[in-house]
Amino acid sequence: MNEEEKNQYTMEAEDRRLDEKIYRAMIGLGWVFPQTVEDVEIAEEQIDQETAAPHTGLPTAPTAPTAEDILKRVATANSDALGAEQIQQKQSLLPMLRQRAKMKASSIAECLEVTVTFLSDISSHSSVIPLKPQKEIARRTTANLTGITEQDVLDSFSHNSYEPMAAFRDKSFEEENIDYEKIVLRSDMSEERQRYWLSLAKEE
Amino acid sequence: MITHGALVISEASDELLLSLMANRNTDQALAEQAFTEFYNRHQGYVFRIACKLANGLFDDDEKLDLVQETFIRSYEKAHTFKGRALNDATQERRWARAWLGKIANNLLIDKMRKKKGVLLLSYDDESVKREAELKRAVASLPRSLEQRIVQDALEQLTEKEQRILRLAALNYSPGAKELRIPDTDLDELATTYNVSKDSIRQTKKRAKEKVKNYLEARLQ
Repeated sequence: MNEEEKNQYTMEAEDRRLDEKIYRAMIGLGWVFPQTVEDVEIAEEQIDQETAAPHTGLPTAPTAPTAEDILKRVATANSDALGAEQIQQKQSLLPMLRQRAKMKASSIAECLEVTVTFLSDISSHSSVIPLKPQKEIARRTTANLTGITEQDVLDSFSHNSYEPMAAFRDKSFEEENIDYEKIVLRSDMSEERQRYWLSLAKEE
Repeated sequence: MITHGALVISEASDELLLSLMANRNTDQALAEQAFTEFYNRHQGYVFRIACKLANGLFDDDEKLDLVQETFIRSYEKAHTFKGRALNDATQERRWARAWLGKIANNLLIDKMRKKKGVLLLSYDDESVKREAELKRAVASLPRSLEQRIVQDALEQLTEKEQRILRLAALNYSPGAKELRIPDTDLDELATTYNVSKDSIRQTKKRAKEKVKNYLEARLQ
């Protein structure tokens, strides 16, 4: 190590010591939360001194919550999380994919090599989608989108999102007369792709 | 006295209490008893520090939130606590409080980041004035001379220098290489003060030099 390097090393070491001193002083001032046993010791001493100091005009503090209050908050947070999970489990295909993949419908459709129209239709009319096309969507999803299993996709097909409701009706509209073939034919996919998706249904 | 079989909860070590909390899926009632004991032991300390620390930055509800969230996180993350088999009760208490301090510090940084403009909040807040009075009273009490000089030096800095150094200290872990401001906070500070990031770095450097010069002058 030459002289210049030695000087540099000494300066850096001094700088680190100064940082440490500033940090410790801040612990004493109550500017930072103590994070080591030594820091806690400084903070506890400081608290003891403040408590002992007469007429210091301690800052008025709000009333501390009880342990029961906190346990209730934990329980509420857990039940909210469970509710959110249940809602998530009941989602139909497209909302589920959008939420889990955190992607736009157009990007998801691109990844799965289908159109948004097709994706939206099979999501809305899942009850008329044969099993083979469902499995093909599931296969493509797990191959191209992370964090979603084939079972997630197959489960989502059991949730039909087609429930439009007229403002003054107490029942939803009758589902339009649609079948899988119609969905494929109006999907805006190329003829070749349409043939492929139709062939899957015919294999069943 | 709360007992569970041969176990007296009030006599259990912090490490055991946290281990019971970590096993809440096996025995939730016992975990909740352990949490209550752990909370009663440490809430006064955490509450006191949080109130001092957050003065001028957060209102009373936010301070309460910080304390509550610290303990909620301690309950949820109890399995991450690593005990040190300390025979000394005082050291064991401090070890648990240091762990709580790490949790609280991370929450505080998150809150500061989420609360835009928190770095510019006025120091004229009434509670901060009371805190300053308290510090003056405590300053007359015996303490390490060097630490007191550094504290005096920090209090001589401008408000901007104090805030910049404080943000660096909040992100500092003892033993770390330097008091460093993370890039995200540097960006926010630069925007808040309408200066470049380099200017913020220079302010931090200048503040440290002031502390160093103040300390050297007093110790000579």
